[in-house]
Amino acid sequence: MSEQFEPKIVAFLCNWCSYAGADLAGTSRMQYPPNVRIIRLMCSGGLDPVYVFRALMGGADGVLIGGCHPGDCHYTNGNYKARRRVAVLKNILRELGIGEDRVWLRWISASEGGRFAETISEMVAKLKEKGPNPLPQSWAV
Amino acid sequence: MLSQGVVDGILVPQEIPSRKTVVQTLVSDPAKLEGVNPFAPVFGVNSARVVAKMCVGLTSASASQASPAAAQSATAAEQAKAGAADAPAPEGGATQTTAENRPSVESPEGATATEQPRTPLIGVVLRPCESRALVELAKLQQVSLDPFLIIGVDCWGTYSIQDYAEKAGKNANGSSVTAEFLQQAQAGKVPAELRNACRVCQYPTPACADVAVHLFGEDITRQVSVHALSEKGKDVFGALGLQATQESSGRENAVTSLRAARKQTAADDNLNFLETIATLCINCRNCRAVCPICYCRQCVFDGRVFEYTMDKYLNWSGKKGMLRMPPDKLLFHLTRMSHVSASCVACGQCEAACPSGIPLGRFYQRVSSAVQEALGYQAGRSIDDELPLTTFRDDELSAVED
Repeated sequence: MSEQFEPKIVAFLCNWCSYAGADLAGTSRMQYPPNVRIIRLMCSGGLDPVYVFRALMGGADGVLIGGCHPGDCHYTNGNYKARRRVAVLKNILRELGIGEDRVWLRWISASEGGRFAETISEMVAKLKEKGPNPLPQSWAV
Repeated sequence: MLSQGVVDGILVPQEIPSRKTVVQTLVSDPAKLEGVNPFAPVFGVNSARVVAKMCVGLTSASASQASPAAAQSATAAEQAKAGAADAPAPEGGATQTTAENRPSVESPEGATATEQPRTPLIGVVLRPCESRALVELAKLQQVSLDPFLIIGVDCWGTYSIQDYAEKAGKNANGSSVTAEFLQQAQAGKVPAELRNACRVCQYPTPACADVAVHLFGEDITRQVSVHALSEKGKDVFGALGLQATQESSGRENAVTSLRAARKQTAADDNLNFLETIATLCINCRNCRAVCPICYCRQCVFDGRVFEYTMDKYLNWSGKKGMLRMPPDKLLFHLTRMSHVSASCVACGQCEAACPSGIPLGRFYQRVSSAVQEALGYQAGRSIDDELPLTTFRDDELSAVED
């Protein structure tokens, strides 16, 4: 199973930085693994944790949350609020033993196409190491 | 307080006639205070909800008027002087363990100042987890604290209402469950069959109270000590002509050792959340109904977002080959945790309300203490702390970045 295992990543990217960064990676013809499904948000601060939980239960092996670098938020401070929410989310996942390391928060600016591509490659490698997310198969879901 | 008109009413736990439980009562006639027992180790409802409900229809303008206690203190102080001779400082003296502990300076005149219309002041006797929840609700703009005088009491923990009723039933000879409990607790032997949440509670002392009633480290068969913690509390002390009593030297030790023991109990916990939810949860959502912090008028889970078409069900089922029905059980719990954990006071009412006996109190205590530690926040610590999810610092939480 593990040699064919291709992790699925759901990426919530903010419109102004990370999504533009992903766009730049594409228009620059950068190579990165095709394991990511991108969902564009107006701001990382607008991400309700319920969607992250939903993704993890629905079959995602990893969730990437991408926002502008601290200080660069289009809405002044949405990314700082996102960081606090992600802290809540990761603490919940850790305390309940549901794989907090499947959720990544990374700042990717509109000019960092390379960083986006690297992030996806890195994440895919880590998730392949970890193996499939057991949560979607859990009877608790 | 009541007889002098310093407060218009007092929300205080009283024993029901069978003495099998203790419930909150809103008392406006001092004669109706016979069954008062604010130290009973039983916890039916988180009174923060009760207090918040009393604010319905209260406009913020009327609530933000000057403190009524201050306006009244002149009149009441005169009465206190008159009464001082026959009732010298009730707290410092021979206050009993159970009932009769209220600082009631009986004044024969008893006339209350009701000349001008004003915002009422209600004394509310609350456990630490109740006053902390109330403070969180105030920050969430669900209640105004202005009309309330919070009287916080030390708490060693509580039994479930079922356990308390059973114990009270056995004590048919009339001995009090409360007195027995307090005796054991004071001797450092807090009974083992407390509610789960109480066994791991880190906050046994009054928080954000205007007036605090201290039991820890006191010889409570002789006295309790009463302290005014806020300006409002001091106004009331002034109005009643009371002095704060001396702090007992044993208090700090008693509190520290209680906390340490409970930290150990919490650390010993290794419950499996997924397994527990998979086995026991019946989707009734009682935990949400009784939670003092879950304040939304309409929960996201009751909206259209969580109503699905048949296609959707089949699609999900098709992906895994099978779908547990009804869906969203774990999602409900995780979402509720993400919504309340920053303000959760770990009162354990969710667990008390669970018909399947899921130890939610333990889970919430563990999760919320981790979340609040990460955010540098303590629910109910102070009315001045900002809600952690509405504020931020530039340089923090680098550990959550990947």
